[in-house]
Amino acid sequence: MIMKNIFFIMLLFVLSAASCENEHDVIRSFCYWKTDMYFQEAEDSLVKKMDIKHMYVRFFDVDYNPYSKEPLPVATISNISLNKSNLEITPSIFITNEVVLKSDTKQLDSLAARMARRIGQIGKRMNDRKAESNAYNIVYPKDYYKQKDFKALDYDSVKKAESDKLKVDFKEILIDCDWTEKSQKNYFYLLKQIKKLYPNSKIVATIRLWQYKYASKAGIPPIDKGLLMCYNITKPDDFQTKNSIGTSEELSQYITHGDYKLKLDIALPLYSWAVAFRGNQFKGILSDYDRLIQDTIKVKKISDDKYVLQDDVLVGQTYLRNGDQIRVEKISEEEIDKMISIIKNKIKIDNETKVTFFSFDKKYINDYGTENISNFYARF
Amino acid sequence: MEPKISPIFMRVFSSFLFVLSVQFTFACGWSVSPETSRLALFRAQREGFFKLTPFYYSADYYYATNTVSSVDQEKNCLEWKKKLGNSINPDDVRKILYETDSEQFQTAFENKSLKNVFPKNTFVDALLLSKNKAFLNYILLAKKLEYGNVEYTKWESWDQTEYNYDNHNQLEDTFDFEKKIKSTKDSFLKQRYAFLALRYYFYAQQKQDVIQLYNSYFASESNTILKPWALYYNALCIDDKVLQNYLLSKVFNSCEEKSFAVLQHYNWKLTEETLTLAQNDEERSVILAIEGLRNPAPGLKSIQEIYELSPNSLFLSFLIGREVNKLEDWIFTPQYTSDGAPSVVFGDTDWYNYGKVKEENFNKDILYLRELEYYLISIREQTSGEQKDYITAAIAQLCFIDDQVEEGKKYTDLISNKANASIQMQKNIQLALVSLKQDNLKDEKVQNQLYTYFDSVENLVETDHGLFKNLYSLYRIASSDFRKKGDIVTAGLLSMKSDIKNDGEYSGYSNSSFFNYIGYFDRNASVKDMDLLMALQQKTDKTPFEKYICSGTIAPNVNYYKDLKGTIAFRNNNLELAYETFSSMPQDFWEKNYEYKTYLNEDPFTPKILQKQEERKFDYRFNKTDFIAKLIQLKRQNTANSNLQLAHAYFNVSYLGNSWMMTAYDWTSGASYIDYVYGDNTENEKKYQNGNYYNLKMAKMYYGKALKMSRNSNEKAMASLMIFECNYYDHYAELITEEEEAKNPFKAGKELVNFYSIYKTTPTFKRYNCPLLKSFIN
Repeated sequence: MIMKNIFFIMLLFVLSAASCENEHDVIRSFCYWKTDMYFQEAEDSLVKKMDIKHMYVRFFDVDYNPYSKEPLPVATISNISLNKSNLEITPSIFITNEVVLKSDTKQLDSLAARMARRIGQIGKRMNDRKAESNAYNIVYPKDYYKQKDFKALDYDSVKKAESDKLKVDFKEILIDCDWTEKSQKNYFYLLKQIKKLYPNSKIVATIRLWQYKYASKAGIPPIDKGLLMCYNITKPDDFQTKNSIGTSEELSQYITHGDYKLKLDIALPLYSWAVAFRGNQFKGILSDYDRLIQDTIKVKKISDDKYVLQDDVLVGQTYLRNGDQIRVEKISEEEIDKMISIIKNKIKIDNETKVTFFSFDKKYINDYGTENISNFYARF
Repeated sequence: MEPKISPIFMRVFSSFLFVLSVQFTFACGWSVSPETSRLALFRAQREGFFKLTPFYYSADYYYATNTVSSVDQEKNCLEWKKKLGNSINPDDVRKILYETDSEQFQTAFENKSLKNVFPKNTFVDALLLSKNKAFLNYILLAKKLEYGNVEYTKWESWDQTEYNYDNHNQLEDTFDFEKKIKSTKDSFLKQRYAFLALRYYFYAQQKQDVIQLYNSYFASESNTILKPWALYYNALCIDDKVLQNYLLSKVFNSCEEKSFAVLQHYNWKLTEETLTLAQNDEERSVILAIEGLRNPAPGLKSIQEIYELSPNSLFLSFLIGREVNKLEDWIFTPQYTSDGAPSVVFGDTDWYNYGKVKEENFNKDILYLRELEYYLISIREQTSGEQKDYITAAIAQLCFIDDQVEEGKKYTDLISNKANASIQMQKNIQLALVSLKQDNLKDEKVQNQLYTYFDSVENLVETDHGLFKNLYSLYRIASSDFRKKGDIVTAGLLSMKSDIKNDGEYSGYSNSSFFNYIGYFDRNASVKDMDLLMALQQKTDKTPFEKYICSGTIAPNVNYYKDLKGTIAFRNNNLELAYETFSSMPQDFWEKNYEYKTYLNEDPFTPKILQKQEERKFDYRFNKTDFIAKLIQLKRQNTANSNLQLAHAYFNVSYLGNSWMMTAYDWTSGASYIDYVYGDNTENEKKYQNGNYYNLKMAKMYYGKALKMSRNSNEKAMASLMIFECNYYDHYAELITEEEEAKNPFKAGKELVNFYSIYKTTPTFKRYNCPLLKSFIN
């Protein structure tokens, strides 16, 4: 095929003096994107080690139901229990672009109200779990069974008292939507409606890199703050992509200016996956790829991040075949360092800036190591 | 359809910015999902396959369904009919139980208007008889406890934040199920109340109550359809996963409604352990079959095991069909779709020949196909009835995939005339395949017979949408066979038919536009083919076959075809034929159609490469007839100036020029939607006008002539500069790696040297020279 071949020219990063500025004590944050949040000692310990103060927790998604022709909630988080970790939580709602495109003004009005109500309900549930846990600890203090004549307090009344102390009062609400030029008007309208319902909270929206670079095209959402997502630059189904999670080289092509009209928090990637191709056709994403690539008989390593299958393999219910290519996508520590430099160079960072990693998962965190992650925060 | 104007990698090289760097615009390749492009011709069904619909082989990793069998519901209606009397119409029971909103029923009851709201409903009439009061009370409770989402669905409700079925509010606190069940005398009602309670406790997560109710009221033998339903809820309440699997397999085998739900909950890793609980061969075969229903890899071993346990099993047939579909996917899909022949670069420098691997996989798949085929042949004689016909059709299909047409025909003929309608339909598909491979496709009789085969499948599509895939696959193969016989016209129209049938995924076709009608022919047709196509379009007494292939595919306007014919003639350097063709068209055609106004609007006699962006006006009224007439005239003149103008024109009709749309309909390099649909066109494009389109061969030839003939140093300077440009683009049209560049570096040539020496005083030199250009002179 003509002209499909290129020779790569390495772009060098010229870091300006701005990167030598004093570092800031940013608010250490993580994103929690699973459908169940049940912290135990292991999670508490990770939070403590990295000194995490804040989490964006995905409460639910909203998708457009083509049958009933209305936006409906999907994959609502079933349990939020933080154990002993004391974190500020920002409820986060992912809304598909389709929802915004297909809903009319009336539906958007009702969507805003329904979302607010649902956030309140989930917040209430979260507080109930916390009240239960607090009440339990009060009613049954440590080693209570060793106490002679131990007399337990009435659990229900303690729980009620604890529950009354907790109010559903989120400082921020995060709305995540990959809006397009076409859906901009509707999306911004929805954001305004949400804002009206939260006079005392800040409304934050995710800003994808293209929306940042082409701000005049994408528009600036009418909110209090943005969360700039510095990852997922290309689609994973592109065979030619080096790493769809992102590279610092690509990031530098997007963060070309520093005059975005909103205060920005920063989200960086901390995950990995493997992408499978047959020929140049995308076959899917494998999140559990470790065992596969360690099989040196059936899998041949052809470069740092690429593997070719030497035999047909059934992984779960995925049938991979001889000749399929697996591209492991993970961002190296050096790359994250470079990304931080690029961000700091253009975007104003202060002690109020939240720096968040996507996403909180023991596997990824242990992969990078808590010390390295702490250093990433410190680099700001 | 928009023409794609950004190629995957674009080497930008302007005379004004001699920057020798690589710029690439990344455009993601166009593709559809593997499930959409997958080919499948085998869709024979046995009675009872319906409940297995979600488990047909699919290239998707997940299983989705929008079909739920109503067989169980019908059984329940019949149970009511049996109970309340033969005068009851089961359809009336169905209306109340399954098609009436709970609120509507309750309101009608409270307003004493059941009779008015459900007039002439025999079931309501029966319920309203005083002797049936207990039954009415039961229905009222059952309707009250109705719930929306039995099957798993991703959609939630705004009113609930938890998955749990929260129906506590629907019942008064004082309601006592146990009391109700015990106080009910009628065993029919007793069991139904028990079922309501069981389901209620299931959603309230009172597992022990569910298990207890099941054991008390359903565990002993009973004929009601409620039993497998109750068993389903009971199974899900059991903590022992192996036992749960075993019970779910029993539900799977004994009712239809829960088949999808059962597989949602099945624990796939416990097949071995589950088998140890099976009481007999039948049960063992069901457990093995469940495992096979999600296996995307070769599954002959399970098929053999199931056959040994239960030779007439319905699941066995289904799994054989799945196996045939897998082989069709592995063998046919790469053969007949544009994803078929990737040559892939792995890493930055490593070249990896995927073609070789593809061949290895193909050979392995063929060996597997034969293993399956021989096995089916070996068991065929021992089977009987529908099972035998089904297996015979499967063997025939395997022969066709393996290109053993005679053998395939032999088995197709063995399918009995008494076979069910679905197997007969499969037979027709197979007879069409035989005809496509063996008959004289030019013969009108053969064509019309093919039409009857096609039509027999088309007639069934209405009742089984899954058959769209068969039609898509059949027409794709038919198109390929007609093409092999040299009939490009039929091949093209069938190829369009195939895409139209592909479940509407190629949405471009639904809004018929200019390029949809000519896309296939742009890639494949000759001038002669275009004449044949136009003759078919104009033909008034079309045969049934011709009528069929033309419907929805033939262009509404003959000028679409004329435009392509003229363009093909131009690509072949036949200027006279191009002129004759274009001049026979309405002369405002290029202002009113396609994207001509957007892309064919600049002076073709000024090389695009010498223009600054701000000099380009895009307001030239381009007329193909006039343009070709001018070329003919310039050729006749054969002067230095006329050759220079011809050279500029040929530069501009290359993909680098401002009039590329004179030669091509889209400007791509293999990643666009139309490349996806019609195949990569690069190899064809390389041949346009003796290699002018990418390598500027004609332009360079005319610049050479102008340089030789001219006495004017300014003209000579222009020709020299442009020869350099042509050389540059010719060199980099295919180049590529640093190593290759090092081996065969670009050399500027004497023309550039002359430009910087002999012609350095000319106005052309003064206007276009620049330091970077000079740096090419070593």
